[in-house]
Parts: sequence; structure tokens; C-alpha cells
Amino acid sequence: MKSKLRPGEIVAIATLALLAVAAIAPGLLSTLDPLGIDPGQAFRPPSAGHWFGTDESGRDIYTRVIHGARASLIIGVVATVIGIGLALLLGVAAGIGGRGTDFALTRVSEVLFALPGLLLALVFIAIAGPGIATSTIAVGLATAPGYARIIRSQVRAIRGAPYVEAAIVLGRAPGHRLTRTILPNAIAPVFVLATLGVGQAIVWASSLSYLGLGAVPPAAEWGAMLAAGRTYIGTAWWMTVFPGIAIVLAAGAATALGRSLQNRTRQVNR
Amino acid sequence: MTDTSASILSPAVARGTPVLDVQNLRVRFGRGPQVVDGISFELTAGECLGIVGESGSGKSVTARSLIGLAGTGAHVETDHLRLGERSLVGLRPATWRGIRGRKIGFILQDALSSLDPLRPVGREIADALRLHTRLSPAARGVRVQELLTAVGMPEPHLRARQRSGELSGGLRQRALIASAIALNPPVLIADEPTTALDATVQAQVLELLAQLTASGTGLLLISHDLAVVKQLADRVAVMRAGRIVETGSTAEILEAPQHDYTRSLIAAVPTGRPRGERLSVSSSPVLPATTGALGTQTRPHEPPVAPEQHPVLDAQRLTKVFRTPDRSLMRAVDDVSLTLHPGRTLGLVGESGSGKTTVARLLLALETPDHGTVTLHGEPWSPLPESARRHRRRQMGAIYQDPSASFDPRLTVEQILTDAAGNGSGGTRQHRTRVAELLDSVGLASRTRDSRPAHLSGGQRQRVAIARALAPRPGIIICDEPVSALDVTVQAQVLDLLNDLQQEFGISYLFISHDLGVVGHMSDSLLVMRGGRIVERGDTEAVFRSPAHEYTSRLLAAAPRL
Repeated sequence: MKSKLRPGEIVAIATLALLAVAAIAPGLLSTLDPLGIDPGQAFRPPSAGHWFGTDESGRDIYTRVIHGARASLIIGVVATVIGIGLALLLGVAAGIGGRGTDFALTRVSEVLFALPGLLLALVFIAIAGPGIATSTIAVGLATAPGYARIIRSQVRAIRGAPYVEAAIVLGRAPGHRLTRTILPNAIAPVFVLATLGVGQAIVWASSLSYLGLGAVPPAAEWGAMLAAGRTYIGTAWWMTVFPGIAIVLAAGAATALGRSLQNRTRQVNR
Repeated sequence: MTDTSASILSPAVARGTPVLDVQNLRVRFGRGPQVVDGISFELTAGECLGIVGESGSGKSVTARSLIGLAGTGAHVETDHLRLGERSLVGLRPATWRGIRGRKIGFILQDALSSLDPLRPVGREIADALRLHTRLSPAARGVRVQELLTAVGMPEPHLRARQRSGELSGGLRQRALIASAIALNPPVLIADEPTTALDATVQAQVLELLAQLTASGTGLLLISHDLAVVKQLADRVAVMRAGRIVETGSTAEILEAPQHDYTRSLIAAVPTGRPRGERLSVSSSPVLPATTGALGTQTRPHEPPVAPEQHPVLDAQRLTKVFRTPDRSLMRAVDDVSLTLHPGRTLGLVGESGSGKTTVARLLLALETPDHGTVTLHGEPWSPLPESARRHRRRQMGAIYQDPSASFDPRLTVEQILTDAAGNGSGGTRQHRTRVAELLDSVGLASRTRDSRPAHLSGGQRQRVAIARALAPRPGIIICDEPVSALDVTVQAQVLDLLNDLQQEFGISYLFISHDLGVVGHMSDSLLVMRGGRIVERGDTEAVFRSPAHEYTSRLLAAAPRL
């Protein structure tokens, strides 16, 4: 990967870096309290004092958007990690298992595929109850079948490759072949997909919060802020537009980066 | 040939008239060096000119430049390029389309990828007629049948309706030749037309090309193998690094080669060369050897261990049955017994589909035989469960036909060899010395240790594969077509290397190849396999001198030799 960064990639990386700063040290970007109420300042449009305006309780929207980055990024990354972890278990089991195991696991993931991902997440929340933790797990669960299918086919293909046979001839035990030869080769394309997946997970997590199933209203979370601003969309557009832009930027930057990673690994493989 | 096919095949040019004249052809890509650096030749009707050289010598680029398909970014310059009376300098793409197929036919090495897999071959051949003639569809069908008959296709009515994937390699190559000669072009260019084919099929295709030149076509035959070119060519041009280093009549080139490179090409042909004679001109990196006449080196071949010792590998009555996609049973290996003695080489020769590779996989215990047993060093091998076999696997190594697919694409040469050498024991330094030792014994520079095999040349890659097979210090190496993907000159070096390593370490080889010449040069004794069965076995010299089975005689007759 020696070729130069393209302008689009620079923008994506800069956006993600800014979001990372906001998530790790929001105090650097805004000194106000995201939960501080000031009823006298309610529904102020964007101005020099309040760049993104204020909400119905007079809280600074800019500060809340900055602080919301942490929740969104953590949910996005953790949900993806959960999804890929689960997918690894399922995909590898189906990939190296016998015909029966493969058949059973493939049918299960096909059933899960039949349901839209978000619906799957809703079912899980209906059982486990709303909240940030459950919505994160729910998004992770919903993305797992897609990754599992890719890992399974990768493992299947690599399992029969001549270089795995060469490892058998060298007297390698099955466990050694799996961890040293099959997995590293199977996982590389999944990492690229995961970068793409983070963007989607951020959107899904925000959607759940918007529906009131994730973060609960006073908390500074983009989806929850959208939900709160919806009531006032006719009078106070800034309450919904700025959190919305934040979601689009975060998801867009993660997706753009994932795509360019995908193209680059493809070029390297050629 | 029948009268009708003769009239079909003869182009309307009198013998001896110049049909192709190339003066000072130069090709380079982008700002790169000259890939073809000023070559000139002439071809007359009914003549065959052979261009010989190794991969990268520029022979294929030359061929492609002559039909205006040198590739994107190619700068083709020439003082003079004439096809019959017509100059081909600076033609537009549309004009080229009128010339390709009609004036120059082109036959490629890989017929499978040159024919559309989704269309019947008859339709493919008819295409040339549809584009360049005014024949009616019915007349085109008749002509396609004539062409297929002329190239010796059995049951042409049936074959014309089959797709290229349903035909065997030889029939596919015939279909391709039929499409190339459909319009009676006065010039035919064949780029490695038989390299992917079995010996007996190769002989048939060469025979067909000979008929074409006899009927007046000018043939430009391109190959890395002098033995193939010799069968057909009236004149030979030896090409190296974009230049023609030597040219002359075939007899002159073979009997009195002037250039060192021509000599090394002649020396590299293994057919009929006794065991122990060196094929490559470069000196061995492993052992000092006495230098003989003409730069080839000879060394008496002595098996390091007496043959009456116990066999290292013994297979008794192996049978393996596979279920084919249409649910019928196929005996891939049928009652095969073989014995490998310490420090000796057992050759296994057969054409594609004869079951050679399945035998290798049974011996390596990658497949379990349905009947029969394999014994390794006097102890049971094939009947054991894999867990009991695993610790003895390091006694047997393997070298595969396609080395690039047999390496983990993530690993460097050093990582591959370290992994193969050690069971995790020994420090980093010990590993580094072992890797250096291995690279040295296969004649690779130590800087290759950090490269990935994908970035090495075919010959270097096969050396890495040999180093990997050597790494666990095995007593036996199963070589499955180890040189069939290599040029003759590189093949010569690899064969010499294998022989040197056998002398040094006393390794026993099972040497599998479709090429009787190669197997004959390498083996002490020989098995000939056909349709899953061993049809002939014996001492290599004895089999070559007086083959007992009719099939062995046919293989012997088909093997190109100098």
C-alpha cells in the first residue's frame, strides 16, 4: 500500500480523526456542559454564542453533538466487534465442520438473513429491554450473519488450497493449520468489510436511539437528539439538522475509508 | 489427406514466394527498454520458420506485433513490414481487423482461454467466415465441417456442437487451428501451440501443422523447446533478450551451433540423455563437477546406497475409486504396486488423466486407498489414522507442479522455510542459519529470503519449493510434474539441481511427469501408467531400448528429441 492518499481519503481520515478527538477529549472542542439547562436560552437559532443553536431546555447543540460522538463511535465499533466475533465462531465452525454442521449453521444464518437487520435488532431489544448496552449488542447480532457467510466461504475455499495441503504434508496438526494458515488468510477481507460495517452500525445505533430503544433522551446521543428535535422541526430546524449531519459525516467517512481499503487490498492482491 | 481437404487447406500462393518480410522490428512498452530490439526475418510460402527462446526473450511480443496486437502502451517500429505485396506499417485498427484471420492466422498456446467457453466450437469457427466472407449460413456450416475434417477432428458433426470445455486438450487445439485456417491465410503464426499438450497429442498437432506447410502455408512457429521446433522448422532463429542471436537452417543450428546460448538450449533437451549427464551449462552451486566438451558437465551416476537394502516406500495393489459428477464410478488408480529404494529415483510417466497425481496423493496419505496399503520404512503408513501418521510426515516431502499455489500468499521465502524447517524448536539464529543453508543448497541468492514467491520467476519459485521440501530433511521426495511449468533451459537447471541434491543427501525420488524424455533422464527405473493401471515397468534403459507395451512405444515415438 505505497500509493499516495487521494483527496477523498484525506477528507475521510480527517473527519474520523476529528470525531476521535471529540470522543476521547470533548473538552478540547467545547467547554460547555452538554446537560447544562438554561431555560432562558431555549430555542435560540445558530449564533456566535451558540454555533448550532440551543434546544428546548437551552442546552448548547454544538456541545451536545461533540459529546455525542463518544456514544456513537463506541456503539459503532463495539457492535462491529461483537458482530465479527460471533461471525468468526459461526463461520469457522461451518467452514471447517463436516457436512451436517455446515448445513445446520448455513440454514440458521439464512433464516436470520430473511429478516431485515434492523428488525432482528428490534426483536432482541424487545426481549432484553432498551438501553445503550442492549442496543449495541442488538446491532452486533444483526450484522453477524452477513460476516459469518463471508468467513465461511473464505474458510471453505482456503481449506482446500494447495498451500494448506502443503502444511498437511509438513505434518501440521489441524489446530495449527487453522490458526496459522487458514484463519489469517480468511480474515484479511473481513477486516476491510468491518471498516465498512462501522459506518452502518453507527446509523443503526442512531436509528434505535431515535426510536427510543437506545440512549434515553437527556443523554447527548445523535439519534436521541434527532428524536427530541423532531417535535420542533417546523420552528427549530437546527435541533435536527446538526445531529443529522454528524451521523452522515461519521457513517460516510467510515464507509469511504472502508471502500478505499477494499480497492487497495484488491490492487495488492493482483 | 483426401483430395477435398487438400484443396481446403491450400492458400492461393505459389510455393517459395515471400509471404512475410520483417526488417528491423523494434518494440518497447512505455518508456521501458526495447523488448524486441531490431529483429529481421523473412518467410516464404510453404516454409516453416521456428523462433526459439526462453520466456521473456521477446518471441511472443514479436508474434503479437505482426498481427497488430502488441498490447496497450506498446511502441512498435519497423523499417519494413510486408505481408505478401502489402505493407503493414502504421495501419489503423479497422484495417488490421481485415488482415487478422484473413491474411494471417494465429494459434495460441492456451486453446481453453482462446475459445469462448459458452459457444459451440463450430459457431466459433463460423465466426471468421461470417465476418470475412459472403457465404450463406448453410454454406458456412458445410465449410466448418470440411475444416474440422481437415484438422482430423473425429466425428466433426458432433464436435461442432460441443463447447470448448467439453473437448479434450488436443481436440480443442484442433478446433483452434481450424478457426485460424478457416480463411486460408497465407501466413500462420503458432505461439507455443503444443506446450500444454501431452506427448502423443503434441505429435498429432505437429503432424497437422506439417500438413499445412506442405500445402503451401507459411508457418511461423514459436517455442521455448528446440526439440519441438526441430520437428517442423526448415529454418530456426534463436532469440534472446529481444535480439536474434543466431539464425540458419535447422540442421546447421543443431549440428554446428555458433552461439553459446544456442548450445545451452540444445544441451537442455533431456530426451535420450543418460542419467547423470548435466543439462544446464552453468556450474552447479552444490557440487563441483568435471567439465566436459561443449560446456556440458558429466559425472558418473552412482546410486549412493546399494539397492538390495530395504525399500523406503512400498505400495501394494493400490486402488482408488472416485464418483464422477454424473454418478458413475471411475477407477482413478487400479491395482498399482510400486517400490522405492533408498537413494534411487523411480519415474512414473503417463498422460493427463492417467491417475499419476492420485498415486502421488495416495503415497502422501492425502487420500486413503480403497484397497491396498502403503508402507513407509517398513512400517504401516496408509492404514494409520492421521494423528498417528503426523509425527512421521516429515520423512516424506513433496514438490508440486504449480509452486505458486502451494505457498501461503502472506509469507516471505524466509517465513516459508522457517516454518517448514522447525517444529518451533531452536532459536532465531539457528533458524536463520538453516534458511541460509537451504537457500544455498538450491542455489538461490540470500536476498531472495525477504521476497514473496509471487514476485519470483518460475524457476526461482520452484527452487523455493524444493528448499521447502528439503527443510525437514526427508528421506523421500514425491515430485509431481515439478518442471512442466518451466522453460526448457530452466527445466534443465532444476533437473540438475534435483540430481545434485540426491547425490548429496541420498534422497529417494518418485518422479512423476507426462514427459517421457524428462522421466527417462531422471529415473533409475520406470513405471508407465495409463487409465489408472501400470502398463509397463522396468529398468529405464531397458524400457527405452525395448518397450514391451504398445503404448510405451507410442509414447517413445512421440517424444520430441534432437
